[in-house]
Amino acid sequence: MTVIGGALCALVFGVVGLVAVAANGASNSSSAAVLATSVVPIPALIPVLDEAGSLCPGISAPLLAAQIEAESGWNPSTVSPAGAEGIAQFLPATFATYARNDDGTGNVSPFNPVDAVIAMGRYDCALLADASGLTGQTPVSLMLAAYNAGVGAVLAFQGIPPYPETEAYVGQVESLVPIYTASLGSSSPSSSFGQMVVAAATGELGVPYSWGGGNASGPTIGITSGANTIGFDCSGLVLFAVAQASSGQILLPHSSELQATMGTLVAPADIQPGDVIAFALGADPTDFDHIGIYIGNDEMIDAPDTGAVVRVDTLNSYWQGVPSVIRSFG
Amino acid sequence: MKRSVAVALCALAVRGTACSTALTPLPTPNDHRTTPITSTDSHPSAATAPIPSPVADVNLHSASAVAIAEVQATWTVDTTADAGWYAGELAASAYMTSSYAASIRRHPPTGAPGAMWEVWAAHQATTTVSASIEADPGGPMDTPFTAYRKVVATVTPHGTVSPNSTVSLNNTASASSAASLDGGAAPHGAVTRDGADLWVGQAEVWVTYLVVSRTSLAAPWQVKMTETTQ
Repeated sequence: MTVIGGALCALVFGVVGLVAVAANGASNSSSAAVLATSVVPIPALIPVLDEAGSLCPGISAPLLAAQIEAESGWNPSTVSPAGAEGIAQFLPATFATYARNDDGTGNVSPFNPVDAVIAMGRYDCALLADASGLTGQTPVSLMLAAYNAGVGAVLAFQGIPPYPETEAYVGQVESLVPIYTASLGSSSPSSSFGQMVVAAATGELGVPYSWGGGNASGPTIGITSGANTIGFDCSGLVLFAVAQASSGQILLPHSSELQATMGTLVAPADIQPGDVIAFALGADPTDFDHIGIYIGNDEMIDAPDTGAVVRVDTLNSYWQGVPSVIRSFG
Repeated sequence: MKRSVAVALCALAVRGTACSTALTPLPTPNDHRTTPITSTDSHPSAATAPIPSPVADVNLHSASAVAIAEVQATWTVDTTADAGWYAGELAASAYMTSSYAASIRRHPPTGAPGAMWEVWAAHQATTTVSASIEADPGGPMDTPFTAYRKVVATVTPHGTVSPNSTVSLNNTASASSAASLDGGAAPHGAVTRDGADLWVGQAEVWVTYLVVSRTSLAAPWQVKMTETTQ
């Protein structure tokens, strides 16, 4: 009861927590992404997220918000079967290491969202530092893997451990980050959705093909497609471009077969830049095993195959002879 | 405890977050457990527990069959008995090379299973898994001893808690549609013996890329490496 009471107090009088954090002198202004405040389920935590997200370069308020959604679904009182507690799902020993009296109430608890979020920021910073010597994956990916699997596993594997649970966690959080990131108007207000899809894909031209590579945030290390190849496969490129164009609101599965069934069906005569084209290259004309992004003038951008790079392909007679389907996500 | 949660939620509403006046009390974390966590779910003993055997009807001389079986085992979980996703990963070690299985068992995840697991566990859910191979001509070419497979798995949680209780599970509205963890599927309308409607949660799709290998043409295929995306 007192735990929740303390958390409640901290939320209602959230400014107290900010004063305490500032007094600790830990804030570090960086060029981190700006939080999309309208989608934060607990508005009282917005300044706390901003503060925690500025504790070190490499983390941000949107990243922390995405982690919280994946960890607890924003439930400050949840406890996992393994004993992970609170909105940030800290194990008690880990929380004890990184928690302070950040809200000034004297009630330091993983069930106190203010303390937990700030402690999450500190822990993320520590994990970033622990994994800083590793290469081949982004620092944030490695940090997230360490948050889920433990830094020992990340160091042992010299990268993201091959646990489905951990890989899914990293992908899930990175896919959620765009949702919690405010749009700062970098795209022209007059840009259509399709134009933004094309722009996102165009920005990745030349990036290597990587089997299994690509998520909503960008290229990722794939599997076995050359050592430490960071890039996209065909469906990874499409899910990235659509996620970017939709500010993370449309998260497609990493599957050309499934992408070919989603969105709105478009007739060939109505194709527009930014629509995606799925092809059935094999014997089954309904098995769409390749996919690309139409950019106009009978051209598409795709991540074709192992050893190649993201490139512009002309939709020549070969492609026109392949069974295909066109979908729009705008 | 139950009263405390309700108070906290209503306090959040003061700051602009929706707060239902008809909240069903949250279960305490282990209220729903009807069976103890098994030894294979205990991380400290994972490294020494015996490696499970493959299911008898899996054709171990088919790389595709082994890939599908590994993915199905990974995502087949029982939240009333398992502590988290790691239980499925241990079960899937039946289809892995010894070195991959050892690595999975040596370094168990230390984090929490996450919000989705918590929702499913609150419904005492078990999963059904539909998995199939997706052709991917852009990927690496098979050799006689190494095969590359992409498996798309649709994982559906089936619980036994009344959908009326779901309001307590998502006490804050998540930002993403994917985070509508408790919704997305209408209840079946089937009724259990205690009168509760069966709950079917939103199906999740996981895509797994697998490297499958064998030591000779006569040897069984085994999963050497995986990468999972959603």
